Amino acid sequence: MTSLYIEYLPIAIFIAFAGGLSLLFALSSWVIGKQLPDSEKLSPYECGFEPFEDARIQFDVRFYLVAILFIIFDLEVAFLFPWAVALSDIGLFGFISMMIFLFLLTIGFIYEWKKGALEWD
Amino acid sequence: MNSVSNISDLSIALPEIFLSLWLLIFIPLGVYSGGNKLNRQSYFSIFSIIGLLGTLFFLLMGDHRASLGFYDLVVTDKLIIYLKALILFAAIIVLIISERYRSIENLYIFEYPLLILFSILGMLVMLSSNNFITLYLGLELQSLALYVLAAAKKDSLKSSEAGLKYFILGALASGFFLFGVSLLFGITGTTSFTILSFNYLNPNEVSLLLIFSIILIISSIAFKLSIAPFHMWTPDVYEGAPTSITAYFAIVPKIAAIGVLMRILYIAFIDINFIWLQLVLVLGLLSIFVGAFGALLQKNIKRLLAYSAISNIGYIFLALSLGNQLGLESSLLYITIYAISSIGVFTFILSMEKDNIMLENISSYAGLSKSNPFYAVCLGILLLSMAGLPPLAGFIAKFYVFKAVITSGYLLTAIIGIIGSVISAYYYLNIIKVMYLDDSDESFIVESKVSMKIILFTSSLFILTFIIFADNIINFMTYISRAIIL
Amino acid sequence: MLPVFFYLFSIIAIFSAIMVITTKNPVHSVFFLILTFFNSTGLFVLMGAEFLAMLLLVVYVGAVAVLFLFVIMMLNIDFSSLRAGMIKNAPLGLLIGAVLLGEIIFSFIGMKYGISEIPGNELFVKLSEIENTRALGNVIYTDYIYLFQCAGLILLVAMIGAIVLTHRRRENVKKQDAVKQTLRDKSDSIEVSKVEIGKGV
Repeated sequence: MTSLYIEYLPIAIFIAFAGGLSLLFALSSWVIGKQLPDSEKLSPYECGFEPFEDARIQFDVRFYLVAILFIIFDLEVAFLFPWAVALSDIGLFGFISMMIFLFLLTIGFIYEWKKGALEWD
Repeated sequence: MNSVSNISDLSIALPEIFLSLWLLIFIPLGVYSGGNKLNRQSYFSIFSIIGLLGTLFFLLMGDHRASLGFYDLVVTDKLIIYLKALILFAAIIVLIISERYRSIENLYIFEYPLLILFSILGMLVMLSSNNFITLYLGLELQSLALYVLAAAKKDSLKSSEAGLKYFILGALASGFFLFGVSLLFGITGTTSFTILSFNYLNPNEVSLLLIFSIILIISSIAFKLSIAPFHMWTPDVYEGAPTSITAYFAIVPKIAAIGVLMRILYIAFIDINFIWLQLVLVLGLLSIFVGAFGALLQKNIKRLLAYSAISNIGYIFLALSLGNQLGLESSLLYITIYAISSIGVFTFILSMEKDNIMLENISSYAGLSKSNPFYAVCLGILLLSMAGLPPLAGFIAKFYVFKAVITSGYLLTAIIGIIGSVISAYYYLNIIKVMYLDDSDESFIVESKVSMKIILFTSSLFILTFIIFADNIINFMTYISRAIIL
Repeated sequence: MLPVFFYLFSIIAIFSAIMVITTKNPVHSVFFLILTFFNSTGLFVLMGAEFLAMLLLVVYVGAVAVLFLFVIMMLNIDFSSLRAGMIKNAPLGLLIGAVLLGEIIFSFIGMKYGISEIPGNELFVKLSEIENTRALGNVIYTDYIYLFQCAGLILLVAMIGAIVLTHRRRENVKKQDAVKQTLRDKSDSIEVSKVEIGKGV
């Protein structure tokens, strides 16, 4: 078990280094720079109107459909990882098993395609 | 590692495999044949009915002996086969009676029968599960299809609301189910029903954690069955969903969930039944009363039937809470008669249409005995049966439940249950009163399909004449319920 | 050294989980949610469940969090009015949270510690001999083929359901159809007609 943690040690060091460095930059600008807080500095314009409405614009629902279809295929891919690792052990049966699974989702893909869910207009 | 499943494994799951293959043909057929053109729609319904009939064929032709398969994930026995057959039969009838409604409400999308088939597949997987994981996957397959069906009427705000409510609460219930199962796995190290039933649960060593996990599992199934106090979503979903889907909700998934509950309670947790007996009993009594009082003031027939379903499932819980053979038998009898009389009532509701508008208010049935005597008589028989009037089928079902409760020594429970049953008789009789005694300003003639008339007539006739062959059916229930009690 | 990492990950996870529900800006909430996922990944790695850890990154950070962002951008919610209900519903939420917390505490009371006390301990033995992605791969596709195919069907239903609910064919959209274009024939597109002199077509 301990070898597992050794393998992750470079990642831990990397995260610590990256975090430390960004913390250092943020802190040093805070320490070295002159701090003269003023409420006008936070306002959108120095002169002129306050914004009338929220700057966010509403996304189209089609983005959502694309994202949700992406999640489904993402999950499908998640099943492929252990399969690829273990394929030498599970043999032909495991191979056929995955092909059936992929076939199911291919049917779903055909459905999407023919329904026009992948088209933008 | 033994990687090759043998042939007997496949034969256990033959109905499921057939139905999946049918679905895989259905999807390309649906999209390639031009999708949602009107004149093709009845073909899709017929196609799905043939699929269900084929599944029924493979189910009945298969081996009826109790056996396990797929590394003990899947089980089959006579009880499961009976409940699956009942589900398939009810689904076919519901598909037939929803045809006309779909044409009126413009619900002609081929995904409608497709999703119904998917949910049936989920129920079959649920019923033949011998493991909580299999059960969970079946439950999700069924629920996902049902959530979409509840929101199928896209331009109706109420339908979308129903779908959303059902989805959010259903997802919460699934979460509780998984939490309970993971606690159970933490305690016992297994999720298999048969292994749990052998020796993993020691009655002398029940931890608080085990009780929590069982409560969580039972509550999530109770949610799916809309048992009080998990019933809040039911009236809204029943009212908002398209009526044909409401009919489907009220009949088919209930059979599956009851079957699953039988398997969980009577196989997995039978050794520690002192934990759940009281719980199921209280849930049952509570539902009987919530259903009875909730329905009293309802104006909309779909809401009323939602409460009626709550109280009817309450009687089944009452029977199941006995934890013995009698309870199992009477709950089987009850769910069968409930399914058949609900089919009748929903056939009636789906026929009630005037100038392409569905009549859903009880007051709009006024004067029906004069304008449409056939419908009034049929609904009258069905409602009297649901109210528990002897010698109709509903009376016999309730009688057997109470008889089982009394013979098991719970006299007080039986009396409380009978009081609930008397209260609920009021609103059933009220509908009959509206039909027969109230006058209406405008009369209308119901034009419906011949198939719907036949179904309505047959179900009423069955309810009316049930007493003649009641003995045979009860013997049959005893016979199949032995599959579970060892 | 390991306990240090455990406490680091869990404290950041709890902190960012609290921030998810208390920050004013919903987009910040999603970013804190992503931070929570990252720290849970760290916890999974500490438990030796590498595959689950990486899956959490791929699925939750890669897809679910993005979907959350889309939903927030899609819905036109007045967030200040949404906040107003929070104080009102807080007691109920706290009650439910307390009940669930109580269950977790009870579960610790009921638990016996040590690998040998856990009933499914043969699983742990296997895990130390073989890396866990391979251990999963060895059973999912063969022993648990029934469950695996059920999962495939669930994904299929999800796909169909998402399209049924959100997809609308828009009217009056002019599209280019390559097949139609190439199949277009002279006979059905050109009409030769004799026009008499002095008259129009």
